[in-house]
Amino acid sequence: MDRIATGQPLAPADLAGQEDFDLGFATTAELDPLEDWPGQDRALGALRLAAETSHDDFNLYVLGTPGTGRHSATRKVLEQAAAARPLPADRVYVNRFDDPRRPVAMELPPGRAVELRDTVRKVVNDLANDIPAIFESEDYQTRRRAIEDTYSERHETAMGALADMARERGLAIVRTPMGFGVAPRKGEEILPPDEYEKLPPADRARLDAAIDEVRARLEDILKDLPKGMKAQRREVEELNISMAREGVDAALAEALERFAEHAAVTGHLQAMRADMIDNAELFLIREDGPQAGAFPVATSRHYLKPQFQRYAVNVMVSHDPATASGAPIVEEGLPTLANLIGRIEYSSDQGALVTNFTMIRPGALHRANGGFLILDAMQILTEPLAWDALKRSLKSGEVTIYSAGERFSLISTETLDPDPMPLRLRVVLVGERRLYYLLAALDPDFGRLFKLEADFDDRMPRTGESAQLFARLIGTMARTDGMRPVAADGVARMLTESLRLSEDAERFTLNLAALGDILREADHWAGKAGAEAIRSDDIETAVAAADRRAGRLRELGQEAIARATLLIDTEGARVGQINALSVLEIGKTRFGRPTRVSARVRMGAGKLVDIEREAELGGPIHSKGVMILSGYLAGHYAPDLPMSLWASVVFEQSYGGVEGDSASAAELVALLSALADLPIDQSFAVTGSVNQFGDVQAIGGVNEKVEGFFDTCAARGLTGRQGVLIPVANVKHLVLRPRVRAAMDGGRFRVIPIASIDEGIALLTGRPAGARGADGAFPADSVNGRVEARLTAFAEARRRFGQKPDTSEDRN
Amino acid sequence: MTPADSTRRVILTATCFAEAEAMLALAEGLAAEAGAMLQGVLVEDADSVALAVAGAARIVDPAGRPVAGLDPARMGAAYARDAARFERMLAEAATRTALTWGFRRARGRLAGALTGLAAPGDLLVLPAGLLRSPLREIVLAAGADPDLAPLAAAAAARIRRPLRQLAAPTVAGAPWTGLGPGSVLFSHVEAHNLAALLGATRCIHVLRA
Repeated sequence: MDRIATGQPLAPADLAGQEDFDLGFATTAELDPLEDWPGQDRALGALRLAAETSHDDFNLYVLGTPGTGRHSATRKVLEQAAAARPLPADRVYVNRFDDPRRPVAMELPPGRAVELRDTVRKVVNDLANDIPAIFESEDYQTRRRAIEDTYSERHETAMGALADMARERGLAIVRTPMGFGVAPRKGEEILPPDEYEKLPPADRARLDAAIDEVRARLEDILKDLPKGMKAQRREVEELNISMAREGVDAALAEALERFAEHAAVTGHLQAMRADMIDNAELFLIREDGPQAGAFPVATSRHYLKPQFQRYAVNVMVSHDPATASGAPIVEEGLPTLANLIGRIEYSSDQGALVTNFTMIRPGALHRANGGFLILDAMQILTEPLAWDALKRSLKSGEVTIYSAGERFSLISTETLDPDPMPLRLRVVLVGERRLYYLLAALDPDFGRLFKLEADFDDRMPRTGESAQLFARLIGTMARTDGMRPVAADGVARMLTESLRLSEDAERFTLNLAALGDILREADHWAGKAGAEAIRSDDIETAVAAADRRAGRLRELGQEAIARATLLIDTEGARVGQINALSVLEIGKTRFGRPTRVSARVRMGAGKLVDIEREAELGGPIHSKGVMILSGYLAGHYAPDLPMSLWASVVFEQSYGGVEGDSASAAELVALLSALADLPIDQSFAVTGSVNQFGDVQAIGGVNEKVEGFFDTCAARGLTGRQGVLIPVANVKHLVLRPRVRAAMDGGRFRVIPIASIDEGIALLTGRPAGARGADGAFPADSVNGRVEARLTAFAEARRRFGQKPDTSEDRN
Repeated sequence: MTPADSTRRVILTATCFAEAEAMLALAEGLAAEAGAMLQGVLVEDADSVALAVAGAARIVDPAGRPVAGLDPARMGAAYARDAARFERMLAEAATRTALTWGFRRARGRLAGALTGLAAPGDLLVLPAGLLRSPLREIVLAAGADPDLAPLAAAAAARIRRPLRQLAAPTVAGAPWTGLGPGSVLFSHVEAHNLAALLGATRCIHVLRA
């Protein structure tokens, strides 16, 4: 853009518009699709590094404004990198038979986890059929009976011999509910007590001795019985183990051969073999009774029975090479602690919560292991314990499953302590810049774990080449979303809107989401009009419709001015009163509107009262701006005299907060007008901040501010005199709506750039500002001359006031 | 005529709960096979009662420990406990196999008590000898009621043990010598010979009344 002359109205040629773009095609259908994201080379470089490097901790934070393509670019770059990577390993949890609380984690080649699970299911099914058959076989029954008979006969023989001995000695052994009784007998019956008493003492002594002897032998035999039973049980158990071993070995042979090259799997299968042999009775449980139901139980799915859960293989992650390739990319939209690191589920068993290793569920870290995990930074930071869990996992290089209740010691029920699983993945956080800077400042782990940042630009310099790239981007968006192609004038209008969204006539916005919204709405209007391409008018309609939808508050403000509820003059002249401009941003609505600023002065002790600040309605930046005015006045006028001014400045009819310094130029002009007692032309509004030397500096929202005053003036009828004074540094930011540009083109409205406060005051008062002459004084009739004269007069008056004799004694 | 038609009751007779428990499966199977009522009888044996008052008698409990302070009251309480357990066990078994059942207590000598209880067509299951062992064989005495043969065969199949034939029994003779506590002898005996039979054998008897 050529150098801009200050103090002169801008010509439409000085402003950006769609006519600036000569694109050289009819519609975007002629253009090659754009696979990349224009203007994001820096961010894409970081993304590619994160995707391709194998070093640990090169995790990535993708920062930028929403809508700049962070998610789509991240996804696409990672997809390209993931495709070149191998499928990661499968992961399973299996039972640790000697300590079921600590399930074992195992790693298998891709696709083999499911194979292992199915193989073990088949083993269980086979054994559920085979083991009952083994234990019902004649061979087993015979061998078992032989053992039992051996011990029974040994006992029977001993008891038989004792019974015979007792009989020979005139005794009987009787079985009673209390045990075995030994007593003298008479024939086949017990000798009655009275007859016993009548026996000669020698006979009684003989019988008593015999009774004691038989009793002692009986005690020995009975005490030996448990030992015999124990030995018998041991032999039967050995027989059972021997029989079960044959069945289990036969059933497991194929599985062991199939996974022979995986030491961890064969180790587990061997542990399973030992457990199956030890617990062969699990395969003998019959489904009889009421649970069996009316129909025969299916025989092919024994592995589903609760007693066989201990042999299950819990597949946490499986990648079938037949249907999948490359490393996984997982986006976890709800990164709760459980969704991130997995969870241990519970079931209710007679009122108690119980669990086992088959109830371990994988989290996003498990699924993304060996690949990429994309998370929203805000979400993971706001989910309790999730951020901490992510950092722990990345630091330790393994995923450990625990619950929030466990972490806070809130759970007292039985739980598990599964083996951690090794973790190797790249985490990509997508979030706002603010979060990135906060994390970098406040979390010492962040910088170590997230070494890379992909900073997505909001804007791209406007050049002929970038305009062409942007045209291709718009064409690609239209094609991808199934919209009509965009005609060249439509693209030009979109480019203008892109400049407008970036608030800079020299920069295209990279907020693709906002542009996409406009394009989609324009496509709707083009469709309604029966057009085959989206044209400039459709874009204009979409933009205007969006403005209108969001314009209720703007219209209310303008209506209040039009009905003189808010007092804004757009013609005439007044001392100490000026139209400043402010921007209101509520939700998606952003608009400018004029606000009257007024200033009053009198002699004082050098105080400039910012009424907004006194009323605690002014923000710190606004207060800073007003303080700068004091500096300007003090340094610019009568520097050798004490500042003897009392002045007040206020935003009239402003009842909310005021922040920012973009009205400081207007406030200074109002003050100078009040001091010089010169009226200000109310046809103008002024925006811009000012420094202590009187230079007018750039502000934000210049387009909305100009349009806000234009709308106020247009509602009352444009006079051709009305206009806005803006900082010259803001001219490059002007991308005004066509209605304003048309008025400027027709000489009905003016936008005048200024570089200094002197330029502004001259334009607004119609008098030269005045520069100090050789004598060091401002011309007497200039604005500055009048201001300095007034301040000098205040100082003189103050001095005189200070010299007044003290009359207090007289009054006394 | 089938065993079901000819057998009215299976009477499981014991002098203590341990004996009844050892014979229950056999009696339950017989009752189910014959479609008969399962009747339990706990006989308070006269010898046991006499034992409680005999000063010279000694009792050793099943674990081999001497029992001190023996008296009729304790013996009576022990019988009451065994009777309750016997009845409960019988009820559970009958429910399991959908049998009708009954239970009663009797006093006197086992043989004498049975003579008063048994009616024609009843099948008596009763122990002889001190010891009870796991069942090892089914023995069918020659000359036994023909109805007993199929019941004996079914019992042998049920417990998967052999069935053998025994020469004609004579109480004074020696054919019992091959029988032990694990044997189940299916035979027929006259009431007046029952006490002698029980005194001469150490096995489980299944007798047609």
